[in-house]
This record gives sequence, C-alpha cells and structure tokens, in this order.
Amino acid sequence: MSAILDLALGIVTSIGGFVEVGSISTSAQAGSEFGFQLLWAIGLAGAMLAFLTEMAGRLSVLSRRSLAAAVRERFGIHFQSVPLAAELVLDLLLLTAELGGVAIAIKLLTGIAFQWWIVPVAAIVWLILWLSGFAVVEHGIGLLGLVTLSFVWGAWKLGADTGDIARAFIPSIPQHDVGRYAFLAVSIVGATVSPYLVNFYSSGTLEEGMTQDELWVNRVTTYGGNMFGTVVAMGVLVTSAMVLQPLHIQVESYDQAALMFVPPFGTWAIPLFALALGVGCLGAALEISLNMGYLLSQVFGWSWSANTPRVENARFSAAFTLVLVAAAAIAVLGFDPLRLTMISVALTVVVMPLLVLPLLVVMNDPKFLKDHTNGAISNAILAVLTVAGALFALVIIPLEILGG
Amino acid sequence: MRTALLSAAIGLSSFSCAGEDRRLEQHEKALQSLASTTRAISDAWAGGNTSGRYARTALEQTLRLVDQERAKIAGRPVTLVDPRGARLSRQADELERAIAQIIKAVGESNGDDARRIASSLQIEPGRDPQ
Repeated sequence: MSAILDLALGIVTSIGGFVEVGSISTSAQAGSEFGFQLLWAIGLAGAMLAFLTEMAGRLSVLSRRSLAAAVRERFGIHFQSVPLAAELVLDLLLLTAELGGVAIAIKLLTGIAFQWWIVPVAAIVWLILWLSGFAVVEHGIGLLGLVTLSFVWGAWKLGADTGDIARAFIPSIPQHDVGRYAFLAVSIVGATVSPYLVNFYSSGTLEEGMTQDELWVNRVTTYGGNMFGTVVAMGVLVTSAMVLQPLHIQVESYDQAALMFVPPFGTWAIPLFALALGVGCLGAALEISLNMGYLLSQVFGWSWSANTPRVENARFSAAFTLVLVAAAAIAVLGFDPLRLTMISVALTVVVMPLLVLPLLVVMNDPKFLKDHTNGAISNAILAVLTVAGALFALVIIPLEILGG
Repeated sequence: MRTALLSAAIGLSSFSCAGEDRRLEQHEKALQSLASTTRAISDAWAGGNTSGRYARTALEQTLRLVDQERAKIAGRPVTLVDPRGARLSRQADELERAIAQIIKAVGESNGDDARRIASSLQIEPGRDPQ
C-alpha cells in the first residue's frame, strides 16, 4: 500500500516543473492562434520528455551517478564544458522567466508592477531551498501544483468537443501563418523538453535512493507523471482556444492569457489563473535553482544533496544561491517575462542535441547501465530525436524571424 | 540578358510587395487582437467578473503593447507611405486614446462609459475607427 501511495504521489507531483511559464505561454499562444491544431505537438513533446527522463532515471539508478556526472566521466571535462555552459545560460534565462512568472502572478492580484516582486520571490525560493529537503521541493510544491488542474477543469466547463480534440492529435497544415504554426510547434517542444527537467529527475532518483528493484517505479513515474503534466498543458491550449481564439486575441501578455478563465470561472477567474501561474512557476524556479546546484556540483565533483544541511555542502549551496541572485538581478531590470520565455524555449531547442547525443552514447555503455543498456528501438528513437533536435535547432532561428 | 534582368526585377519587387502586404496584415491582426483584448477586459470588469485593480493594470499593459505596435508601424517609412499603413498608424493612435479613456472610466467606476467606448473599437485596414 505504501509503495502504491508513493507511486501515486510521484506521478501526481511530477506536475511540478512541467506546467510553468514556458508551457503556459506556448500553449496559450498556440490555442489562441490555431485552436486545437497544435495539441499533437504537446502530446509529442510530453512523450519525448517521458522517454528522456525514464532513461536518465534508469542511468542514475543503475550507475549511482547523475546524468551530468556520467557524461563527464564518459567524455571528459573538455567535452562536458560545452553542454554545461549552454545549459547554465539556458537555465539562467529560464529561471529569470520563472521568477518573472511568479511576480506577474502577484501583479495580477495586487496591481503592483512585477519588478517589485522579483526580489521577495527570489528570497522565498532561496529560503525554501535553504531550509527544506528534497521531498518538500519535489512533493510539497508538486502537490500545490495540482492547482494547475484548473486549466483542465476550465476546458471541461467550457464543454470542449472531445471529437475535435481527438482529431487534433493528427498533425495538420494550418490554413494561415504556416511559419508561425511551425514556430509554435517547435517552441512547444522547447518549452516541454527542458534539459533541466532531465538532469533534475536524474539527480532526484539519487536523492530518493531509488534502487534497481524500483526500476519499474522509475518507468511508471516518468511516463505516468509526464503524461499527467501533458494533459494539464493541453488544458491550457484547449481553454485558450475556446475563449481567446473566437475573440481573435493573440496572447502577448499574461494579463491577456488570464482572460481565458473569465467564461468558465467568473469572479474566480483572475485569482485562480494567478494561483495556477504563480505556483507552477514557483515549482519550476525551485527545481531550476536546485538543478544548477546539482549540475555544477556533479560536473566539478563537489559534494551535493538537498537532504543534508546546506552548510555541509557549501559549494552546492553557493551555486544555487548565486544563480538565484543572477536571475533576480536580470529579472528586476524589467525584461518582458513572456518575451524572455519565448527566447529561452527557442534556445532550449538549439541546446537539445547537446543533451540527447551524449545520452545516446551513455545509455549504450554497459559500464553505466550493466544489463539494462538501450535496446534497438530505444536507440532508434534516441537517434531520431538527436537528428530532429539538430533540425529544430537549424530552423528555429529562421522560424523566429518569420513567425515569432 | 535584358529579359533576365527584367524578370529578376519583377520577381524582386513582387517579393517585396508580398513582404509588405504580409507585414501590414500582421500589424492589422495585432491591433485587432489588442482592440479585442480591450473589449474583453472592459466587459469582464463592467460585468463584475474582475476587479478594478486587474482591469486597470491589464489595460495599462495593453496600452503599452499598442504603443509598441504603433512604433513598429511608424518605424518603417515605407509602411507609413502606404495608405493602409498610414490608416493603421492612425487607428493605433485612436486605440491608445480609447484605452486611456477606459482606464479613466475604470478609475471612476463608470462601467457604462467603459462598455460604450470598448464596444465602438474596431480595427479595419480600409476604414477609420469610430
């Protein structure tokens, strides 16, 4: 019974970090401009993320190394420095956008400009990380993240046609703005398949002491949890499509996106949207900050754990502290969080091959995976993802110019 | 050789015209979206579904977006020289004034005025608003 409850908790709290500023903004834009037509992209992105996180979890459980540490060991620090630098820049931008997302959520409720909330929000994130263990960050905030189910609830209340939704899982060419459609499809992938999620999950399996006997838990949690998060992201798109598209509103700000909750929730619209946005972004901010600490510690061989007193892992603690300070400093300058989000999801796509290619090599190394190296199908899928990631990276900049 | 050059010139100018048409269409859609946003915020507030605080800050954000759009239109002389571009630029100005009036109405808790101004907002490429 306890194992089932743990599993259920793992699936449900996987929502934390999934539905955040990137997925909310890309799904809201996709729904408002193309109706249900980009639902297939969310489904595909969710499946890709599940696939990658399952492998990263399997690697960590069997090798007792995180993904970053395994790549460093396999390829050396000179190779690792390139994806490390790329991910540090990307995570910093993402963290800035997430802090901005929380601040915007508070602005929606208070009317006070979001820049004033950046420092208090960053301080709260830091305090939670300083005082809490891994379980609080992963499961506690994850449970709060269930408020994002309001997007699914909203779609249900609006009476979304299930037949239309089902048909939208087959990719189709839009009748207008093909460049913009393609850009949003790629952006949805970028918003979902974030390198930090893969690294964070890998580190999390070590924090939780997952054993080889629990590889099935790893599989169920990654696929079940990511699919759960995918459904919520679809809820954002469907609700946006049903409310904003008929009004011809293109989402350029979170104030506009919040309007999608007015028909289904009336007077609760803005508080509920603010809560969903704020909690979703807070969860992601916690995970990204912690991930930066994990990443630097694992690459440079520092001791790390969110389950030991922070003073015992000084460099790990300093790493997540410094990155929070840097992100807050950038956010306070007042960059538009939605624009920053779209830039960071575009960069995610560019960085993706640097994540997938080393993973492809490591997952076939029996030194790390013992008898559980990838089979032919997994390797084929990973190879396709590597090529797709490279193609996405090549086209994203022209698409940004044409359609972004 | 002369025919080839002429064909290339016609092709380039067609491409350029198509590009300008596309830009104007994007500006028009952006302004229509912001006009719709203004109507939606005003209706939501006047209907009691959102607070005056949200309405004010959301309208101020919309005003900033309209100003950015107007600056993009005005930033390209070729767009302003085009009658459609000039009309869009004027309509962006009108939209900004209307949003400012609605913000004032929200501040005065005057839902009727807010609704009246918002309902008259219209962005069309061949026609001036109101």
